[in-house]
Amino acid sequence: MSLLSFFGRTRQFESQVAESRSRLWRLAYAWCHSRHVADDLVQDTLAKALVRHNQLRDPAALSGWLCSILANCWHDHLRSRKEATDIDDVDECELPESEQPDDGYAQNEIVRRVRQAVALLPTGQREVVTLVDLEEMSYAEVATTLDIPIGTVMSRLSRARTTLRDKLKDRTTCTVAPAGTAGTTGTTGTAGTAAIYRLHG
Amino acid sequence: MNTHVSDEILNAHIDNELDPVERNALLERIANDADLRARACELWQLKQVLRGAYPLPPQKSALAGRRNRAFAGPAWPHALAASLLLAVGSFSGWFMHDKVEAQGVPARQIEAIRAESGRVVLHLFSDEPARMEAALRMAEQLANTHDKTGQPLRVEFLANGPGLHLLRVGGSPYAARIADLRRTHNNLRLLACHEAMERMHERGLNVVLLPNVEIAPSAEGQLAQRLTQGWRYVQV
Repeated sequence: MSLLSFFGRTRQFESQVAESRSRLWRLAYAWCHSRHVADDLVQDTLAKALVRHNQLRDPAALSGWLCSILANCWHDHLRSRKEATDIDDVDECELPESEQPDDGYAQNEIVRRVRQAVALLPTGQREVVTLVDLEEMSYAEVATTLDIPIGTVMSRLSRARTTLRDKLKDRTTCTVAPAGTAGTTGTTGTAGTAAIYRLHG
Repeated sequence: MNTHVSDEILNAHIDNELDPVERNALLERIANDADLRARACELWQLKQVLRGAYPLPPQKSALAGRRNRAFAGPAWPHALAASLLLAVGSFSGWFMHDKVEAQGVPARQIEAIRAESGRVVLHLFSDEPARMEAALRMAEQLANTHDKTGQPLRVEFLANGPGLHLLRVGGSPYAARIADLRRTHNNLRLLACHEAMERMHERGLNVVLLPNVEIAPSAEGQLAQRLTQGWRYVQV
């Protein structure tokens, strides 16, 4: 390998690691809702990744591989705190802490409500819905990351979204958006959903 | 036949998990069913709301938070060292998993350390009493071991995260034992992660380290440096 190509590869990897760190932190925060715990989890994850680097066969799989390590670190953290023996049975995590003005990860009222609702999900559901929505993983990737069947991914996701929808509806006035204001992959129509959604978006 | 469309199927549609045939069939039903359309839209909006609630933090925030800027800088060389390691290095380490090893570091690992560099990083990331105890036992074991040439192993005991408590005045139940260990073994260094100390300060803890405990700017950086230098790694 020439020096140039080696350097190029190294720089590319450097960039990937830097980007992964931000994404890992966001995911860790969405699981624990504590900046301090998220910091610790990410640092532990990267330390383990350093040591286990030879387990990563495909450089393109870096992100998913790091998420798997993060999930293991997170489960270790829960076990060490004796919060869970079966993570799907855990009913809640640490509630979002009061944020400092200079937090750097500021939140408005709507964001705070959404985070609270996510924080109150059972751990297994919280993990699945954040991996799908934040990390944009496929169901198969989530199943691999968390080492659970795809059917479990689907059922946890469904329960998580149902709970989130109900919790967010409970806390605001329900309004109906005009037809065609929201949709995906060809979906159009009215949205009988909470104002919180449209306020946010 | 108009069967009920389950939430699982609607979610799979929202998450782009359906194959083209399934998706087209569902879209056709959605176009003709206002209730189904509303459910799909609601799920889609929920997905957007959740994504909006957790924006990607600026890299500096993720890397250094509100920490001392003097220590936010070394992230580049540390990460570069890590990438170099990943690009060219070959390394193996040992992790103590759920079961706390009563016998300390396994003989096979000790032999590997003795036969190779004679240098090892012992990493503690836990404040569980059993792990703290195991970490100290392993530190003693490693510090009392000699390499193939008869020289004592070089041991770095690195604590970060909750593991930092072991090296804190007032937080460590083993202060006397640690002082004794440090006094009797010149081949042992005790290192506390500065970033972990900063986080404890932010939580209102007054972090005073035990005597003869040194400070590493970051555990990650220290690890990257040592691994590139060929040290072995043991995590408790």
